[in-house]
Amino acid sequence: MTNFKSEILSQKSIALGYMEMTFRWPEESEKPKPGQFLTIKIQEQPVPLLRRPFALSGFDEEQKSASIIYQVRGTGTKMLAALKAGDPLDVLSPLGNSFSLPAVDETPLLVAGGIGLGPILYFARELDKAGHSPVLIFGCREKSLIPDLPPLTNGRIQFCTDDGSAGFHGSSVDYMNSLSSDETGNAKVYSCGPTGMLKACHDFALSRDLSCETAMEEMMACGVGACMGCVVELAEDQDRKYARVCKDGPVFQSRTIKWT
Amino acid sequence: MDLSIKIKDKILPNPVGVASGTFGYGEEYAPLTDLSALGAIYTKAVTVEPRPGNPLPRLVETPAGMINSIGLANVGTERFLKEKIPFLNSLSCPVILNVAGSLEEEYAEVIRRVDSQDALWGYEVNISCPNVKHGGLAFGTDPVQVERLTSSLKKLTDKPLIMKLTPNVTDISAIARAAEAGGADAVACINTVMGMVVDIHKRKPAIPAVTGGLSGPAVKPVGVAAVYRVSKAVNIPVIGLGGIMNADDAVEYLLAGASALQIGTANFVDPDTSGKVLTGIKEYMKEAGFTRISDFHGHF
Ligand SMILES: Cc1cc2nc3c(=O)[nH]c(=O)nc-3n(C[C@H](O)[C@H](O)[C@H](O)COP(=O)(O)OP(=O)(O)OC[C@H]3O[C@@H](n4cnc5c(N)ncnc54)[C@H](O)[C@@H]3O)c2cc1C
Ligand SMILES: Cc1cc2nc3c(=O)[nH]c(=O)nc-3n(C[C@H](O)[C@H](O)[C@H](O)COP(=O)(O)O)c2cc1C
Ligand code: FES
Repeated sequence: MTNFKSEILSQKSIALGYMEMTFRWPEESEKPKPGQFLTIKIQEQPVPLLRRPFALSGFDEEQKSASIIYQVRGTGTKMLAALKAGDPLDVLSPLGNSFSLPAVDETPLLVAGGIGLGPILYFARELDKAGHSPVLIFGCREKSLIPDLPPLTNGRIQFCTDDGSAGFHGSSVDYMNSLSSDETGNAKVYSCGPTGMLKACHDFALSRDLSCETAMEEMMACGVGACMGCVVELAEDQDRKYARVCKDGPVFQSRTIKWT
Repeated sequence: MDLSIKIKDKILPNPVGVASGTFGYGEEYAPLTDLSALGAIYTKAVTVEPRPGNPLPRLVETPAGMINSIGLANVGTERFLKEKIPFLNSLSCPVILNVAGSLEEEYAEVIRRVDSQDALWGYEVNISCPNVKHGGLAFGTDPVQVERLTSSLKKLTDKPLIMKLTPNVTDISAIARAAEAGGADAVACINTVMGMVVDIHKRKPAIPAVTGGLSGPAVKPVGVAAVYRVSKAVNIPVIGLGGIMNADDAVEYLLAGASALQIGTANFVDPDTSGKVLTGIKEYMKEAGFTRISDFHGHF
């Protein structure tokens, strides 16, 4: 974990309201793993005050660059979107834990919704490179929200839209449910996105007796495990009531979470 | 240039510490700032029994500030001794234990159980906690209770005892005088300011505990005023905090009467704020021809 001054290499829109930003990664900083995140100090003035957390969406070992995919939401992300190539960037990373690798005979089902795309995409590409055949399932409301992504080599990308304007007509979980139990027999589920989708993925995994990892999100202050501000509530059978998303997560076994 | 500050019979090497609850027990920040250069680490509050803390969400951002509702989440005294003391023991900077409780007896019990630890330089007593025997009103809002709590804790230890004052009172000078009368070796102010955010879409308070503690740049003028008034009212050192983001903010506190400082919320924004603040204080002193911290005092 280091706090470094980086430089923006590129910024581009990849879907309606979604940006992808690439920035320099220092030689000496440890390589981020899929699921890990960073925080960005967006500016010097105290509004907005806190650093903003984003999951890594890619890492290029040769170019020494990393990327994030983010949704333009409020003050902080609007300011971020206004930055240009060449602008400095204050980054604290890599933070948190990462997705665990599937067994060789497991098919990774990677489910993303909304701002959950970044970490899932990074993981899918890493698995693809390593010879796994990941299925990346991305669900959104309609066609204009579908990001422009290069295809995977061994795996594939399945888009789903609520209104049927592109890809599968229905949610990502509807899509998974449409798969036969033979197709998902040796699947391992990974998910990141809105809470409703995460819970649906958990329920799906439970119903088919699959293991499921989920990357969570909570409002953060320190991002390094010191303030106890970013907790999620754990299931009754766990040995403690709360866990910190920034340090104990963001990736959790979905059955350890208390889903409400 | 002498940057040290004496509290009771002990010395803080420099005035810039890190505030309770914003720095854990130091470990998390070890890769990000030079812990050995800190004037002191004030730990997260420790209570006798472990506390899971408040329901979530626990944080909400506000203009130039944030509200927290952590609820004294901590591992309790027994696990503190087992899990946190070994690391704290390895540090060269002073470690000040932030003590909390719901009853006078609970504060006393924490001190009794940890007092033999050499790793601990002293105590900072968080009197912003609700007193369950007193209708849930914070200990720190009543001078009589503050004096009684201070004098009873004072009997349990030879280490420096710092009472940390809440700004949520009418007359903070009266509370500070009560702490001094009880035998406090220093006072620290301010703890967080009570605040509330309403989510207009959900038509509910933004945090389940309804109100929480406001910190960050937004509270700085409140903290500076408290330090100014308290330093006029007592003859023990005053430790100033609340919204210090940079050296200029720190100098404001020192000029208002503070002898030492704590960096809180700013650690979240820049984990090395304390290092930068200390450098800036030295530069200011050099320019002003100051040779010791007391040179900041008495200008108005
Ligand atoms: C571990 C983690 C990974 C994330 N990864 C991504 C990602 O890859 N792409 C992406 O677009 N977004 C991601 N987010 C969410 C992102 O941090 C928020 O969208 C962003 O902070 C909004 O800032 P804002 O100033 O634009 O909006 P605001 O107007 O300040 O807030 C909009 C919403 O963002 C959330 N938010 C604001 N500040 C924080 C904070 N400090 N910590 C957590 N949530 C906050 C709040 O829930 C709020 O309702 C992630 C969050 C976490 C905790
Ligand atoms: C997340 C958080 C947790 C805190 N926990 C404690 C605590 O356990 N004990 C305590 O005395 N003060 C606690 N505080 C108060 C701070 O130590 C400090 O008094 C306050 O935040 C004002 O300083 P700042 O504006 O520099 O943060 C906490 C503050 C924050 C933001
Ligand atoms: S954000 Fe501080 S503990 Fe996670």
